[in-house]
Order: sequence, then C-alpha cells, then structure tokens
Amino acid sequence: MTMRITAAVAAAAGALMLPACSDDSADENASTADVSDETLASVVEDADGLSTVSGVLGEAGLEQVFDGAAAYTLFAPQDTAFDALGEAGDDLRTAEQRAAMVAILRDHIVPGYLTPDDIANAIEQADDGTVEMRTMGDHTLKFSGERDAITVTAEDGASARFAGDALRASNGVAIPLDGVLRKVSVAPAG
Amino acid sequence: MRRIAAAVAAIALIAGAAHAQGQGQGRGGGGGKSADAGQQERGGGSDKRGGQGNAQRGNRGQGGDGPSMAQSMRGSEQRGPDTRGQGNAMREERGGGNAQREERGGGNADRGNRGNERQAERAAERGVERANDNRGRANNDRAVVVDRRDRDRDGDIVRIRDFDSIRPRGLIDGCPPGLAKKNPPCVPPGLARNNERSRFGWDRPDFWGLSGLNAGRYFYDDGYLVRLAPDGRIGGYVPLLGGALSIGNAWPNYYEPFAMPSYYERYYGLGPLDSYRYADDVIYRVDPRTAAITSVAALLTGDQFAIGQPMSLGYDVYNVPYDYRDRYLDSPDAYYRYADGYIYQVDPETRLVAAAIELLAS
Repeated sequence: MTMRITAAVAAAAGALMLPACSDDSADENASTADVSDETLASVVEDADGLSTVSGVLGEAGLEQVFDGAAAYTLFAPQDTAFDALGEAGDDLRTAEQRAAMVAILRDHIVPGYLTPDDIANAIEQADDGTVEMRTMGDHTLKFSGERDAITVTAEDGASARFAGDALRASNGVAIPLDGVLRKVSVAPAG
Repeated sequence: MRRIAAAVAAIALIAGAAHAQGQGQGRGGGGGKSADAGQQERGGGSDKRGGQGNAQRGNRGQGGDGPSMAQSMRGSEQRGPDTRGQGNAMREERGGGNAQREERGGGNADRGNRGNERQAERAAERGVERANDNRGRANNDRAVVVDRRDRDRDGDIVRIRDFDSIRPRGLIDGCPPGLAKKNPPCVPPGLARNNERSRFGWDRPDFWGLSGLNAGRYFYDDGYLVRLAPDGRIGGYVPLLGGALSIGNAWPNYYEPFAMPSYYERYYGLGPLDSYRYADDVIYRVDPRTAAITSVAALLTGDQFAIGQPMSLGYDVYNVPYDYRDRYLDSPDAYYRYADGYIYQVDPETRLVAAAIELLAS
C-alpha cells in the first residue's frame, strides 16, 4: 500500500512554500527569447552531451512524455556523468538494465517547469538555504548553493551540480548535471 | 507515492479549447453545451470497461487476478460517493472512439450544467484573450483555458476528481510468466537473484519508487520486481517500466484497463480507453488491437491535493508551466504550484490549497 496522507498533513506545516521572486516577471520577459518552440523531447535529443539520457528516453518510449502538453523538468546527467560511474555506468547503459536506468531517470524528473532562476530564487528565500522538489520516482531532490553553483542532492546522498545552460523548451526544461543522482556501484555478488 | 486526500475538488471550469487563431470562442461554447455526466463513468464502470477490454483480448478470468482487481477498483470508487455525477463539459468534443463512453455516462447530465455553460462562455472569452497575447510564439496548438472558482459558490460547477481511482497496482499474486514456466515453477533463479540483489540496491522496492509495497524480501528478475514468500518461493511480483512494461511488450492481462479521470484523458491526450493503460503512476499508450505497449504517455507524481488541505512537502519551487506563467505568478496573496496536470493555488500563510486549476489541452 502506498503511504496515504489524508487529513493530517502535519509535515506540511513545516513545508517551505517559497514565492517566485518578485523580479521574476522581468526575468521571464528577458529570457523569453531563450525559450525554444520545440518540445522538451526535441531539445534533449538535439543537445550535446546528453546522448545517454536521450537514448534511454527513446528506447524506453519516454520521448512522448516530453512531447505533449504536460510540463516536466528533467535534470539530465551528462554523458560524462555516466562515464564517471565506471563499470556501473557501462552496465546501466545496457539493454538488460534498462528498467534500472529508467527507474533512476524517473528520479531526475520533477513536475512542472523549473528554471535555474526559479530554483535559485527559492533557495535564496529559504531559511536554511535548501529547497525540495518531488520527483516522478516517488522521491525528493534537494537543491542548495549559490545562484551560479547549484547543487542537487538525492535522498540517498548522491549529488550533482548544474552544468551548463538550461535548455528551455516549450513544455519543459532540461538542466544538465555533472553527476547521476543515484549512488550506483557494482558490488561483489553476494 | 504520497497521496493527499481521497477526493479532491478541482474546480474545473471547463471551457473550450482556445486556439490562438481565434477559434477559442466557438470551441469553448461548444464545450459548455456538451456537458454530460462524464464522472458517472467511473461509478460502477469497472465491469463494463473490464468486460470490453477483456472481450477483445480474452483476458477475463486469468487466474482470478482480473476479477479481484476489478473488485478492488470498484471498492475504491465507492469511497466518496459524493465525488461522482458532476457535470463535465466537453466530453463530446473528443470525437471518435468514444461511443462506449457515451453509453456509460448517463444519469446525471442535468446536474449543474447551467453553470457550466455560463462559465464555459466566460472561459472561452478568456481563452481568446489569452490567445491574443500569446507572445507571438508558434504554439497555436496549445489550448489555454483555465479558470477557478470558489468551491462553495452556488451555481458553479465543481468537478470532483475521483483521485482515489488512481491507485497503485500493488503486487500481483503468483510469479512472473517466465518463471512460472520453469520446472520447478516459481522458484527463484538463485544465481540471477544473487547477482541482482547485490547490484544497485535493486532488491529494495524503494529503488523502483514502490516504497508502498509490503515489507519482505524482494529481488529484481528480468523486468520484474519479485517478492519472496516465507517458504522461499515467489509470492508476488510487479512488472516494471522499462522492464516487463517495455515498448513492444503486450500489456499484461492481470492489469485490466481502467479509465483515468476524464480530465487526465484529455490533458494527456490519451484517447479512448482501449488505447492506454495505467500502472503505478505511469500511463502507457497501447495498440488498441494488440494491446502492445507503444509508448509512455505520462509520468505522474500521484500527488493529489484537496482544496482546503495543506500542500505537501516537495513543492518549494515555483514550477508553473511556461504558457501559464503570466497568469499564475506568485504574489503575496497566492502561490501557484503545478502537479500532474493541475496548477494549485496555495495560500502563502496557511499553505492550504485554495483552488485546483485545470489546464485544458486541445
């Protein structure tokens, strides 16, 4: 059974709920030109250095998720991030392990349209300098750090930094990461 | 997955889809007039839907799983009987393939339709207005019709989302098809299990976003998360996205089709019931003839926020979709957060959800 929180969402009392910065509208206007008319699926497919993620999305049939009306933000580990995982990264990229790779990528996807500015604004207004977002994989990601050096941390402690410019599509955003948000390693068979 | 509330009142002002090229008004009006009782389809509809789906694919009666699933679904739908029978505009708009729905929809078509019509007109006007300031971007195909109303206002249509009908599938009794055919059947493949258990923590349901599963010993095997029974045999399993639920694979017959809330069908462009399936926060597209999975239509958080209840943790950052940002920008009076097709208006002080806003796609 899933955890169902019904009437008593006591935890929410401590929830951060941070407004978009007051100068957001100005940011929005200033950056309109940076927003592609293409969908997130197209933008990721065409992006440099994201071929691993793009490939998985295609092979797993997830491209259509990012080709429709619904908005998502994808924190996309760069190809080099998978390379850095060594044998585990190689393993993850095989067809046999696609289910695991997809499970990991689901935790790199959050609902809605988040720009790095949105995240930085929220961080700046948070008392403890940390904000959280739900993932499509039933976990949360924490964001912290300075505006130009935002770190994202998964529940298992794996972390990565925003790397390069965000790709703003019509229906979502892809933010490249320099790491994979899951601790993966090939342990000896037990 | 966290679910907040069994039934959420989403104030749905359904209006027509407004295209940027001046089509909004006409379509909006049409939507209002076409109000029917779409919600009714979920009430007791499982039998019919299951029957239709199974008749085509011969799935009925598979090991008893089908009927028990249907029963379970009916049970959930019966919770909150006040959530059904609300008027719902625009059902006819979807056109072909929905003849089955029409026959299920009867019964409550007269409830609240007047308000719906009126609001549809208003929203259509707004849709046109919105379309006109569309920044000149080439997204004419994006419908922009949104609205919100106070829940208790007389005459307004309050469409209640039967959220609880979207439930996790849970474990399937028995063992995966591949292992069932082995001799002896349903015994864990020792070597594979040991290998997979040691890798990446795949033996934990939490790895797969399935933390709601009962405690127990699990392992990953060939596209499934499998649970060991106390006797060491396999007692249950879950097919996984990207594994057993991969492109080209036939939809498993133990997962009967069930209808998503009609708004989801429209927002995510799911088409008729025989063209999609749902399991564990993922909506799949399937070939209506073969039931083979063709793609993934949507990923859901499963978060469902009731009006008047607090928004949960995990929505700290403003995340309103781009096309709605000029309309729903955070202010001292209201914050806005997006989840699973809805923008929620949240009171900044109390953090209570004040409205759930549908975003109607064309």
